[in-house]
Amino acid sequence: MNILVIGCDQVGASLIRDLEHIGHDISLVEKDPEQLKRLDAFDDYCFGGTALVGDPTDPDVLRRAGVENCDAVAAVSEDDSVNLMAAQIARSIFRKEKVICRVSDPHLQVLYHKAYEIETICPTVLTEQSVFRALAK
Amino acid sequence: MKVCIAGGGKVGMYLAQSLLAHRHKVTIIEPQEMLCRSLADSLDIPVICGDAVSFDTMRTADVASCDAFVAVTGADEDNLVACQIAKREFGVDRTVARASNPKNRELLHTLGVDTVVCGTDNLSHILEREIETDTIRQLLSLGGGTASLNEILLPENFQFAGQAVKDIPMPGDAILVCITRDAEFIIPHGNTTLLPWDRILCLTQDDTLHLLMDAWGLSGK
Repeated sequence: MNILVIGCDQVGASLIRDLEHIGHDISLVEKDPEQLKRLDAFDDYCFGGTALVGDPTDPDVLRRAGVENCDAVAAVSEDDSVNLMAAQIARSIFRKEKVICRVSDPHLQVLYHKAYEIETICPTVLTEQSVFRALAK
Repeated sequence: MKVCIAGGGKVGMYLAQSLLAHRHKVTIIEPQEMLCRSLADSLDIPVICGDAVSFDTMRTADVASCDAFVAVTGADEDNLVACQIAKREFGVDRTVARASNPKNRELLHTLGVDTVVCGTDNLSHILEREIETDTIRQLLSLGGGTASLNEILLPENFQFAGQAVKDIPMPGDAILVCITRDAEFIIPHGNTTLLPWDRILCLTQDDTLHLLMDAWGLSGK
């Protein structure tokens, strides 16, 4: 699959590495050029996709990053608002079916999943559940 | 009317002042504690210290009881998400967002914000117009800054002088509203002729005004 990834913090960089390992083609949009260095920091892996430095909430930037021809979009930057705006652009302007969005605020996760049909993943909830399970067993 | 403002910077503060002067009830949400203190001291209104893009903060601010929600932080994406939460989760009727990037004006509206105001865009339009030429003067800004009513003073060497309106090129979206010639007031028809020193009122879309100015040879020396 062609996958457009937005954001290259630790989550984004690891996600890109794992997706490339299993043979997907990655295009990346990241605001901060410094963050791209993370892709060179892995010992056993070298980034083979394309990276674009730009504002992921700008439809023209997303277009240049190939949003029109991609099969899925993953908005996984650290900023909830950036992820939610980029995900909505991918969903309602570029009509992408598969859009996944990282949202730290559990309330927003539920709201945007219900009202805007975006697949949302909430690290806060996942962490809490893992810790709870580790302690409760 | 009860209004909640997200963002207590300069825009948020002046907006709150002017809403208070018109006897509206105002609440402000602002993440910086220092700013919150000075706002609460100077305006004597409820100020909630917290991130505007947060369900909890908005509930504390009792956004559900507001008639309008205005997001004027410096980040367009925060303004978008805050307005969407206000509308979808708290059922606020009217949402207004500030867009710093002119490109986002249409985008935020498409994504569901009722009104989007772009200060950068409006200001640069005004400046551009002031710099451009003294033969044209904007009288009224319309359509949220996308169109305007302009007064054009035809120069002595106007290239279509003496020709009928129907024969003069009129590119873009423009309508001639009226002509003032000395003390005479004229509503133009196709056969009306234009003369030097006529003052014309012209209604145009802002992005096509330059086409008209170019076609009429009025865009600078």
